[in-house]
Amino acid sequence: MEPSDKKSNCDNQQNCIEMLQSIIDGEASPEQRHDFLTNHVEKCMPCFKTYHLEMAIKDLVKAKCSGQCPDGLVDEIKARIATLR
Amino acid sequence: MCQIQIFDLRLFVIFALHMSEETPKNDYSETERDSIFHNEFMPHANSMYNFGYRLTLDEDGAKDLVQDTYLKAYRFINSFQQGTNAKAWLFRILKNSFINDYRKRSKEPNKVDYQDVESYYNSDDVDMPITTDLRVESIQDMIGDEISNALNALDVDFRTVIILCDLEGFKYDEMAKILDIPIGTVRSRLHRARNLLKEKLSEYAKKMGYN
Repeated sequence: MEPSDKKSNCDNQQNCIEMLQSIIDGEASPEQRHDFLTNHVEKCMPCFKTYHLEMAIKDLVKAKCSGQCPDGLVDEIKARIATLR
Repeated sequence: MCQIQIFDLRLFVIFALHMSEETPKNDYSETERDSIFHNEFMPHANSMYNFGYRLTLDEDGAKDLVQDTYLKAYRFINSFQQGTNAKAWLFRILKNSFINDYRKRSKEPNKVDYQDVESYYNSDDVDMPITTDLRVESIQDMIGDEISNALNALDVDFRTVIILCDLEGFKYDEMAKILDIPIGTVRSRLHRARNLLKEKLSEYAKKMGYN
């Protein structure tokens, strides 16, 4: 289905938001995910846009906001633990 | 005993009670303690530091929090059940240390206190998404600093749920335990946090002329 063929309004926005969040966060079952994406998201423009935008943001946060321990911190912790033994 | 010492002692007792009420105590040998510490706890040092940094937005503060967390984890290692989620256990200690020690010490006046706003968060109702013209293409064109700054600009309670879920991959039930809140509150807080993040990203996108 082309984007232009999708409904421009969602009839069940409150429930759809909750289901989209569950799918995006891996809390929905594989069946729920497949059923909702195939039977609703592909036919509903607001949910289609929300799903892809939320997924893009989630992926970007994961890719760009991780960090590394400063050099020496792990050794400092190990040294302090050694004094507790 | 001065007031600060009494306060520290009280926090230590609260922490000890909190840790001991959850699980039956083990009696690990020194070899077992070392094995758990090095094989199950230390591999999470990068995630712990990043969480500490995103909470405090301060490198020294993050280092102190991580060190403090690992010291507490070692002291209370008999409360940890081998085979359970070490990362979630450590994150919970770090979050509690941030609330009980770091934030009280730093007394940042612009920070909103957890308790003051808890009634707002406790609503399980999920509000509607913000109407934003933010597009996937605009998001994908953003560099790391813009995403990171937008995340850091959120109130600490909101950025916490995004970090736990999107960055660290915790499930809702694990987040509920780490944060000591119901799962319904995890869901609604996460939803609000993402709407606020979208607002920030939308502002960046407009400044950059993407929309």
